[in-house]
Amino acid sequence: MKYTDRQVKTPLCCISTTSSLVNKTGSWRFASPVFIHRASPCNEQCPAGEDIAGYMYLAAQGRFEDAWRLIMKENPFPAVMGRVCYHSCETRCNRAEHDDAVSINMVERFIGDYGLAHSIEIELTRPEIDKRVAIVGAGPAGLTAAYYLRLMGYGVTVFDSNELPGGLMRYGIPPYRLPKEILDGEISRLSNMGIDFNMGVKVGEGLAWKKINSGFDAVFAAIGAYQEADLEIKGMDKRGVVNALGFLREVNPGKYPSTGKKVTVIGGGNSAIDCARVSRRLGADVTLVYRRSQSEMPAHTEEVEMAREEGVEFLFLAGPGEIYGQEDVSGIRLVKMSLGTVDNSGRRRPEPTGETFDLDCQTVILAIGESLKIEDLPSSLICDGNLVKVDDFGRTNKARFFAGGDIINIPRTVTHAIGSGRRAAAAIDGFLKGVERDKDGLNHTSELADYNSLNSFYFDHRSRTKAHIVLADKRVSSFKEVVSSPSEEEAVYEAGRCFNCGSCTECGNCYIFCPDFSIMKDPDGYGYIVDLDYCKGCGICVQECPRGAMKMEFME
Amino acid sequence: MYSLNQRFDNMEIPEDEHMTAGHVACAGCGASLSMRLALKGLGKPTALVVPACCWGIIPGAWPQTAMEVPFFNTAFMTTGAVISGLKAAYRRRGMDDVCVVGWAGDGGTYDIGIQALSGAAERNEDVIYVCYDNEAYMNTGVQRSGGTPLGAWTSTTPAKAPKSEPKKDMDEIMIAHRIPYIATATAAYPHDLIAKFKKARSMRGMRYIHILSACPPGWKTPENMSIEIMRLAVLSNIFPLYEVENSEVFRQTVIPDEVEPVNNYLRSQGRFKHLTQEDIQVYQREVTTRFERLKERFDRIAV
Repeated sequence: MKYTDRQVKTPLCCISTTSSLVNKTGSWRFASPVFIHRASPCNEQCPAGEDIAGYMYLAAQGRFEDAWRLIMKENPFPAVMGRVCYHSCETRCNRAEHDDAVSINMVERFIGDYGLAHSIEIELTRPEIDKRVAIVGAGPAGLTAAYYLRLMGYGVTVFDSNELPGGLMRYGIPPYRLPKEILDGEISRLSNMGIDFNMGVKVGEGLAWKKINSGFDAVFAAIGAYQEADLEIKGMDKRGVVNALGFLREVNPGKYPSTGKKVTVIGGGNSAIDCARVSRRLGADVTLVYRRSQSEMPAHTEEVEMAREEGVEFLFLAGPGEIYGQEDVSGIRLVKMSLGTVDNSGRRRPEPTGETFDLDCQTVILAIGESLKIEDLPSSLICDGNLVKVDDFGRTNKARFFAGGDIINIPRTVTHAIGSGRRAAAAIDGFLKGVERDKDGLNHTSELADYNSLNSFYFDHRSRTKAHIVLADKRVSSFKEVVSSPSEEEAVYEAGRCFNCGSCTECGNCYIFCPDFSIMKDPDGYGYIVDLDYCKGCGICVQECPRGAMKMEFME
Repeated sequence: MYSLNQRFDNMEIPEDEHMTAGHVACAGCGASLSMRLALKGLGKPTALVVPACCWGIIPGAWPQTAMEVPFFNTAFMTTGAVISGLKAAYRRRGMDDVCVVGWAGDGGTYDIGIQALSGAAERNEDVIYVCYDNEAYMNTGVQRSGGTPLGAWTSTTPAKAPKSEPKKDMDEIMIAHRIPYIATATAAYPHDLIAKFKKARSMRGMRYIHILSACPPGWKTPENMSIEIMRLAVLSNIFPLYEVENSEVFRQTVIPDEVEPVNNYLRSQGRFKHLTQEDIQVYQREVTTRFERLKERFDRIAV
């Protein structure tokens, strides 16, 4: 419009006739808001890489099957996990800075049980691949690798020397922590998927590694660490001296080992605690002897507390000196210890003081650590100390040979074993397809949703649901589960306490608070989009996002 | 399902928009967001009357407009008179369902427009008068107004000699008019703001709504902090959210879980940067006394 035209056309009373939409205010912007997915701290912490923020969101809405399927993407044992995982995720929970950490473990347990109760099955949707993988060892690592490889379409055969699959989940974890029917339920889902189980076969003895190597396209070894550490003291040959794994293995419904009236457990790890608690249930008076003090105990604090409630006596700063008795054990001589300088484990080294004292007992259980029996593996593998040397994905020095679980350098928990199995499955898939698989198979993204990235104003204060723990004197009378399952209301409530850090839950804050009409619902799917034509880049949406699912990106 | 761990159930927010993008408010403007949310609460048919103020220019330069409801620009001191006349004209033409809304800044309400507003209130005209209060003449370059708080920097009250008088208590002036409805609101609590506009629309007679509206350039605050700062004003009782019916029933609509010290509010803004710790203590006493006086009335009604 020329100036003269404008003079002519301007009416006496100015009335606007065009929309301001011609005015693209986006040109004012020097930073743009973007929607991102940040990793929640719990997700980063989880050794199996579960998308906790995601399944909490689904569970809070009562969408338990969806939540279950989301867990199954990272972990094929939700019901087992909800019982035996040491839930280190909860130590990183952002909610702890607000009021109290979310009881993630409780929700996972409910979802896992929901999957079992409703017999949800996993459908195989990928086309079959004409390649076979051998899994040696049917523990958590092996079964996890088997599950994911089978999902991808590979033929999978599992070999194990035991009668039943499950590894330490079956033969190491006592039934008051993990009932056998829960484990059986989750494993039977795996066998229904067409995974072959070859039980009672010890590879390396009954069946040569060479045969496995030539018969399969890839091998995953997760044979576990069963070799008891040697204790060079007198009296080890007496009847009544047992090692922890051998003892726990005997604990099966209807068939319990006998211990005598008094039991001494040597060691401070989780299996020592398991042995002590099992012995209490068998009616014995139990003394747990540990050579350092309580703060150095590798066992999980919750477990130690429960053992104490159940009447296990703790004797710290004492080590075994000699086991005495005729043929049977009648007592143990202990040496008092004092703590010296810090050793390479970061703890203070116990040093014998020379002072001794005796303890009457009929059984001595040694739980002083287990290691891999290297002779059980092919001799061409490169090992690092007592562990097989692998990269982050479980690749060994041999091209077609992968390893995971307790025989590689990871903490010895079921959750870590599951994580190692899943990463190895990704690496085996990459190897068999001839592609590099160097991206972490877990859910970690580069950015972390820490507490500062949240806007905690939008979260009210709600107290954490307490786990239902059976009273201690009732607990020791049977092998029934110590912690009972949460109700549906409790699971929904607890899942609703989750901040869903780093994930958009479509709460709508960005849309409500935009002064420039520039946030709109994504017409093609989930979440919101930014209209960059008009966004002035004020950043209110990012500031007011409760979950840290947005950030400002500055232009060059 | 959207209220997962969430204070606001955002599903309650009406979806309809009655203005468009492309308006020329500054980035992070509290006034443009307040209008957007107010129109969601008011709905159509609504006619706006706006005197000289930021909102005189926000809809855009002629011939453009961001508004999708009638929007009438008028002279600074006339809002109260023009809404009275416009409502009379609509009624005369049989369009009594049109909600006539005056929308003026703090300058146009506290100082220049108070006479026309007081007249309209005294006559109990059937209109809504909204004061969006950004606490100075922001449109002309941050000059002090009757709404500027004690101790604030403006271009006419520089940091060496900040405003020495407290903010005029406009809400008390309106309460003294004994009109049907008075409310305070802010865009940091969108559900509260929308509910108050819905309620105002459903009533007849003179209704007055006082909106606290952050101004990043005038308050010297980062653009992204607008909502946070308005929220702090509520949480520290500097701007309590309440409503008054017939100057008799007082109701606090947002009660903070925990009252914040004024320190956080003041320190978040450049216009209060020069305040010393002693000044802030004086400020805190002022705010507490004022809120206690108000609270007595909330409490009395609650019995």
